[in-house]
Amino acid sequence: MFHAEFKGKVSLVTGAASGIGNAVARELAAHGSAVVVGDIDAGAADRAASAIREVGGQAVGLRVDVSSRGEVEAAFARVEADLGPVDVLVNNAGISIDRGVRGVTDEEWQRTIAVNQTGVFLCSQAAARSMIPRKTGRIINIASRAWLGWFGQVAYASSKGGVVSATRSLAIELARHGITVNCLAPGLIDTPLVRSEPPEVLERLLRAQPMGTLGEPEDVANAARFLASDRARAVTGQLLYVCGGKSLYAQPAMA
Amino acid sequence: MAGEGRVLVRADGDDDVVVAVSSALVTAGWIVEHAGRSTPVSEGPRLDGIVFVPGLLDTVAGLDVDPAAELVELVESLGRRLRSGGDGGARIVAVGSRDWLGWAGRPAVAAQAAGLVAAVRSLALERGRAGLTVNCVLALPLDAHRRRHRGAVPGTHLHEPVALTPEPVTSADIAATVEFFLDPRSNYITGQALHCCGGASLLSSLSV
Ligand SMILES: NC(=O)c1ccc[n+]([C@@H]2O[C@H](COP(=O)([O-])OP(=O)(O)OC[C@H]3O[C@@H](n4cnc5c(N)ncnc54)[C@H](O)[C@@H]3O)[C@@H](O)[C@H]2O)c1
Repeated sequence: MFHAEFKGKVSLVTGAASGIGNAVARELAAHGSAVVVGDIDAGAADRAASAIREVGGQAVGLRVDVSSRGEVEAAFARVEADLGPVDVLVNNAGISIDRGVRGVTDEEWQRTIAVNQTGVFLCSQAAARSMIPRKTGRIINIASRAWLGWFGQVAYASSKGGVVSATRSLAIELARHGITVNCLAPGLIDTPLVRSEPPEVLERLLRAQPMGTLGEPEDVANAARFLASDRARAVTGQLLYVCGGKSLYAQPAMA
Repeated sequence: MAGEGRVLVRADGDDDVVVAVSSALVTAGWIVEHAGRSTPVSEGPRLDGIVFVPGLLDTVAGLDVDPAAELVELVESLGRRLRSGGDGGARIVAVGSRDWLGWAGRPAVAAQAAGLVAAVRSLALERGRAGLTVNCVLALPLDAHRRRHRGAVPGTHLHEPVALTPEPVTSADIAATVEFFLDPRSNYITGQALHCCGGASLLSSLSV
């Protein structure tokens, strides 16, 4: 019954060529939104967009490196010219690095912060500029349960902590303009990234988690669709974990 | 999204919220069973969800019965009726108050609301393997704006928190958030305390 929920809306999902972002893009398209599949990998973005069109959705692929101000501003200008202003921004593009504190290089630290944290700022700023005059908008940031801290995650967790903090400040500042800003924190989601862990590591991670199962990208996508909808107009500045309870308990000594 | 299942709404107050929740659920296709504190519930058809509304938004002095203990008892007594994990599990949603963050003039409500959040998180841990998800929606009193206009809380210079968003939070907003957690597609979300209060939670360190 909600299939027309996003009719006439334009959604930009970053990092939407793969994994969670791809599921979010498919979900919003399935519910009537025109979707821009933004990704640093132009070919993969085009393929993902054409897969959405094949099942009847409206989608275009767009190359954008979210860490570059020039590329982000050009992307927003292009979307506005071709489809109209962005109604829903999903800041999903992210890279992860799993390295103990002694081994993290300056380049790794800076790239992680540039993509995961600065990328959220640049895209949100561009979106806010066009949403404020229209007095409506939705921004959804994909953080991570890891912002709470974990072994080998000093760079990644710091970047995601920045995303959580940015979400709250943006929510406070933009609320009176009718714009909500929320954050989803996935736990262990079944994407190629997680499947690349050795089976025994995955097994141990699942044992330290209340529901004992992996989540699906679609679980995150469904939550993103709720936050993007009019139904969630009173929900802002929130951090919602999609993690099977992992945020409630994990035993670091086991890792 | 579309509720094809059966949900028990156990309510002891916050009538506007209960009406909004029930009508949203019926519209979405759920079969809704109503119960109060004294309704026997342990026998009956299989349940896909429970909504627990203890009445924390309406009260100023606090409830006569501890809502956290009531939720634990309710889940216990409904145990055999809840759909099992292998069969999709069941969703439990409690409606609490933003007061759990602490509020002048309502310390008893705050304590009960905080207790409810702790019970939700504990049940989520305990019942995760059984396929139960347990979450809560934390809202503002529906007359928050009126309370704010009445002036500072006696003995303080502090005014009732209200939504930062342009419109006051309505019972329909709360109902929509409850419905989200009841959605079978929300089955990987558990132990969450989601504020539906237009950002009125945001200046508290406990709210993240
Ligand atoms: N998979 C999980 O379990 C998990 C858990 C917590 C958080 N997350 C977060 O969810 C988001 C998506 O993760 P995923 O697992 O789907 O990852 P993924 O690697 O499958 O997809 C990420 C996409 O982002 C794109 N990308 C990378 N750098 C970019 C840049 N600078 N500009 C634009 N696009 C860029 C990649 O090309 C890729 O298509 C990330 O922010 C990640 O941190 C994932």
